[in-house]
Amino acid sequence: MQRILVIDDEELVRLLVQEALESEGYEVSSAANGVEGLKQHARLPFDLIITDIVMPDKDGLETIMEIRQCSPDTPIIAMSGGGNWLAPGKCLDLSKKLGAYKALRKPVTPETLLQVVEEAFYAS
Amino acid sequence: MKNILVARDTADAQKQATELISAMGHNVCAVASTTTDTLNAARSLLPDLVLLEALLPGGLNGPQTCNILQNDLGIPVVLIEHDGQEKAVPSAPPASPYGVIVEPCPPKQLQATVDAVLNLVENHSPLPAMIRQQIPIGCQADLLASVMESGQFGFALADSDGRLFYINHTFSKITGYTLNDFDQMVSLVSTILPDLPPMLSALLPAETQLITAAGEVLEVEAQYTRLLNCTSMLVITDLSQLTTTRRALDKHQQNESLKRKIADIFLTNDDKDVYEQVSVLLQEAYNAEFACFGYVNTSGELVVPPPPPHTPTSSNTHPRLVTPEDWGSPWGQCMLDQKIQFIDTPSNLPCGHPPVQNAVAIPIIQRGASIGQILIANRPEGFSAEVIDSLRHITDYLAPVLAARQERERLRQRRNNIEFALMESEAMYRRIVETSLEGIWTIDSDGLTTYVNNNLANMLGYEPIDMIGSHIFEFMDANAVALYERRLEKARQGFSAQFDFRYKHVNGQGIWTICSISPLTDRNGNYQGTLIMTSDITHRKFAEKSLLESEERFRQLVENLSEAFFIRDIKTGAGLYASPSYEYIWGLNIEEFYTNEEDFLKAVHPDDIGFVAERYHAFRNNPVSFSMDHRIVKKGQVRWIRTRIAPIHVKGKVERLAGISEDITESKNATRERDRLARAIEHVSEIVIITDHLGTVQYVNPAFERLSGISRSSISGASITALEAAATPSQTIQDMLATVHQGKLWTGHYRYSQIKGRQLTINATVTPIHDTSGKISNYVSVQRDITEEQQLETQLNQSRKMEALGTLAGGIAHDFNNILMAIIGFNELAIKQAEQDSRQRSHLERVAQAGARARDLVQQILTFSRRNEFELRTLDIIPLINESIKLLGATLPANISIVQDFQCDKAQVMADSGQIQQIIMNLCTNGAQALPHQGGSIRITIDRIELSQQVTAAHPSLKPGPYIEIGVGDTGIGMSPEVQQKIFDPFFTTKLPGEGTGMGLSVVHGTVRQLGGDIFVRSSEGVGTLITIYLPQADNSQRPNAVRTSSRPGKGEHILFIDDEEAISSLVENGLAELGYQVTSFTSPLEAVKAFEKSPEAFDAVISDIAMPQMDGGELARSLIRIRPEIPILLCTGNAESLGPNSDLLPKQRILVKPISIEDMSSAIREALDTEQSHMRKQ
Repeated sequence: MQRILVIDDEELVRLLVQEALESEGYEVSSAANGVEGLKQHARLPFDLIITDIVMPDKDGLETIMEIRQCSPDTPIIAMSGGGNWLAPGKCLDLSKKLGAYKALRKPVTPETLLQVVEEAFYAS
Repeated sequence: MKNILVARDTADAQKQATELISAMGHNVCAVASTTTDTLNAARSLLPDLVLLEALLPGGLNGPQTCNILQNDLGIPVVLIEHDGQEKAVPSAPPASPYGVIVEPCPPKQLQATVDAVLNLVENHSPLPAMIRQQIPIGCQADLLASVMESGQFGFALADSDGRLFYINHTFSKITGYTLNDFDQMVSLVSTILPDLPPMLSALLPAETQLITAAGEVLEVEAQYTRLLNCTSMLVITDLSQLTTTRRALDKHQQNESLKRKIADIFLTNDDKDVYEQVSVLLQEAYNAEFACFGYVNTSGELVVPPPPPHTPTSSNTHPRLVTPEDWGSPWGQCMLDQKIQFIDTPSNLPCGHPPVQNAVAIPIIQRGASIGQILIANRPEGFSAEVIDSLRHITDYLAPVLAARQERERLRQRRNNIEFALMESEAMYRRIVETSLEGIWTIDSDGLTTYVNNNLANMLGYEPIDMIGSHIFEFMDANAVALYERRLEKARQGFSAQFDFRYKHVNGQGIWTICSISPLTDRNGNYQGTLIMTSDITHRKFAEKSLLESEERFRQLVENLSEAFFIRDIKTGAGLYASPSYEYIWGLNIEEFYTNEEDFLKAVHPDDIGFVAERYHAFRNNPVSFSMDHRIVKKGQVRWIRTRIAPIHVKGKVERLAGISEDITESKNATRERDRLARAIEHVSEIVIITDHLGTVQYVNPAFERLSGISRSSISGASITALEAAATPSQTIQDMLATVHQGKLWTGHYRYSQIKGRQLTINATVTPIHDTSGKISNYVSVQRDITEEQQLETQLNQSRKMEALGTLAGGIAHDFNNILMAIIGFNELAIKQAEQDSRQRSHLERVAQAGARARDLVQQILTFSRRNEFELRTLDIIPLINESIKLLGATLPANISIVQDFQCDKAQVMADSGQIQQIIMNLCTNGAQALPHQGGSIRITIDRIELSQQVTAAHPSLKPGPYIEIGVGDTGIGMSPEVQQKIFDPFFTTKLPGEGTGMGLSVVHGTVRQLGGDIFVRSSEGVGTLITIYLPQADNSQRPNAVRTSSRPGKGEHILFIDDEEAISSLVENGLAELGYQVTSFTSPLEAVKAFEKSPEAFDAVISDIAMPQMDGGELARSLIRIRPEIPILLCTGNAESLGPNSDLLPKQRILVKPISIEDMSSAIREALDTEQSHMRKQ
């Protein structure tokens, strides 16, 4: 069973992603910020990581960079609803430059997400 | 006077002989007691005679000594033998002294013998040794014999045994005896001279009676003398043979007698009687009827005694005074001529004058001056030569006597004068002492008062009599006695002293006096007492005390002045006094003031020395008060000094100068500050109006004139109400007046209508000015035209509001997206699980629709907040707008027409085509909705314009350059100003709920600003609205940008970024690149420094972390600054407190504290770069 980690400071988003993916047979773990997510990944690396960009403590961009350093091949999907200083598009664009497989603009529907996850696994 | 050597064995005998010889008028040249001494003295002194004791101790006996003295030295000797002595000295060789005295004998005999020997030696060929040696012995006897046989003297000589051996012829002739008649001298003498003493010893010549051989008694003079070798001689002279001589002698004796009588008269009578007595004496002595002895008195007058009482015609009993002018008579003439005057015949005599038969007048002349005369008149015998001689003898005698008398008279008169003067003087001094203003006090040696004058007694409140006998210490305080005693002791030692002293008044009060103490001594200088001169100086003391107090007050005043006060000699410039402030004000040493006449020039500023010295010297030549301001250099600082110099007059002459210097630096600065302020007020753009408390305009500045159009001269003196009329609203003006009249400050805005009609918004501050009593004296109003400023502010406020709303909306959008994701996502999962066609599924699909609308709304919000991204490219908006109009035409009602007014064929801007379409659609839709039911038109205009600097200055969002102007106007209902201010606010709408979101114009506004343009609205209610958009014109060379946002602060500046964390480096590099910067990042600071060294000008700014292992940020910054000092550097740290040594390295704004957002970093970089560029421009 493929293991997926979802990192998002918004609990509703974590629960949605978790439910949508688990219903499709994935093992899904969640983390509220980058620091927590990286810790979980360090303990037992995930097959795919979905992360929000704008988060407290350690944002998605930093998280992506660090995952890329320790797990260069793990596919990463970024999501963003934008923030005060960066438009969502900019965040996503940056995340792609940093190595994210795909960057999705919130709100992301479960269907879209499943589709992208599958694409990512397929691509990797 | 002869010199006689006395040689006797005893002191008594020597004394007796010395006295006797001295009594004779001779000099005892030496006294000897031995023969040896006698001979030595005789040899050295060669005396005229030696009185020699026969038995004198020594080597020789008396006769031997006598022989040596007489034969060898030729000195006559009187030998003193004692009765029976010769037998005691049998071995003595024979000696023949000139005289021999056998003691005891009367003193007169010794004197007579000495006299006789001296006479003999002097008058009778003493035959001194030399003569006797030259004349042969035989000739001596012959010579002696011839001498003795001639002459009138009878000689009889006897040998040492008394045997007569020679009688000369004259002796025989007188006596009638021959040598044969007598054998012994003794018998001869006793026979012919029975009156002589029986002992034949040396005799004085004596007159005696001689009995001749014929028994005749003759008056003779006899002298018996012992001669050499103890021979003896008797000499007799027949006095009868001497008649002529005797007569002369008688006359002489008469004269002498007369002189003695005259002397007696002078000695025994008063002066006033002397002349009369002498006159009487002369009258009798010369057997004359009249004699007159006159003398010249001290006044030069001849004093003539009254005629003797028995004179027949005498009637005058008083002396007569005859002045020299009246000395015409013979007796006066004799004095004038100094010759004897004879009157032989009677002449015409004045009436009453006694008759004169004959007379002689003889002047008394002393030292060539006639001092008197003797007149003898009516002498029956006449005046023989003998009488004249006698009279002359008398006048010669009288001359010194009279002269002495006159001298004595003169002395007496002088003494009388002196005594009189002394008496006068004493009286005067007494009066002085008694009336002296000074107190005079004498005390005896014990300190007891012997005299005080009235003044002194009054001074101390006593009567003089009360003080006499009292001790001086009773008149002073007990504690002053010791001091006084010391003063008195000095006086006892002969010193004088002066001092201030306080005596005690009888009433107990102190009397301050100045005392002069001096010793009183007798004629021999012995201390007798003390004189104390005393002056009451109590008033002076009080005055002195007052003066001292006054001086002290003035001294304190001067010395406490903050100004420097000084006095100089005007001639020499020498410093006489300087107050302590002198040092502080001038910064000079006060000692130099007293030693250097121009010390102050050392302090004067070099540029001012010339005129200061000139003014100072000019004053000394022409002392007229002046004041000068100049600079000094004090402790390296330049200070301003004001010095005022004035002349000081002493007794009408300018002797000194007085000066006061004060430091006016502050006042000078204040004045300059005031001047600056005055100039500033004249030049400021703000209006300044000053009125008095009644509102009369006293001052307006040029800005007033410029702004109001009213000339300064016309408003000055006018009432402020003239201006109030043009000000609105009136309520504001009333409020202002009410406030300031209460003494409060008023600040506010009002509108002012210029003369030309233009309305201005004025910001005014009106301040009441209070005088010292607290009353309002003036009003000052500072006013500023804020018309444009207010417009700008309105725009700025709007802009800020939009910015804030955008930020808010952006933040909300993020959260909304998360929420929407959950809603839409979970809804989607729920729909999957719901049954087809069920109500549940229908409801869930409604939720999905609402979610989609919400997602669109969020997109609009993001557009408004310019956080949406578009594909910007150069595009011509005209086709796009045409396309939109077509679309609109299909949706708008038919009564609404769209009018196109395109002034250009092509209008290129950098934009996304969707943005342009959205703008046109939104504006047109809004315009259509504003139109009334009956419809109207919407006018769309496009034009290419150039915005000048002047235009953009009022609209900071726009920059000068080419723009595309798009106008959308409608003829609708228009908007009120209040509505106009809010139309771009998100969610603001005038529509009914549900008809609009209120985001239409907000999205347009956000889009236009995102494209670098601006949007303006002009609307008038009931007329319509015109929205105008300005978009920067794009040229063909501009390539489309993939993603561009309006929040790109960077302009391609090259940033050097250093952080040892690669992830951070990478993140920031990407982030800053997105913001428009070119970034080169390093994880090694050393490499960064190398890169910077290589091309320092390639970088515009540096951002570095501080905590790095190889080189910390501070060190890195220093290295870079060394290479390029002006390079802006930003340092990032996790903890601002731990900056340590780098805290002073950079300004605070260049320190960024983590966590740092890219946005914060961006604005910090922008600020640093702008500051740097600003500096560069200034340089």
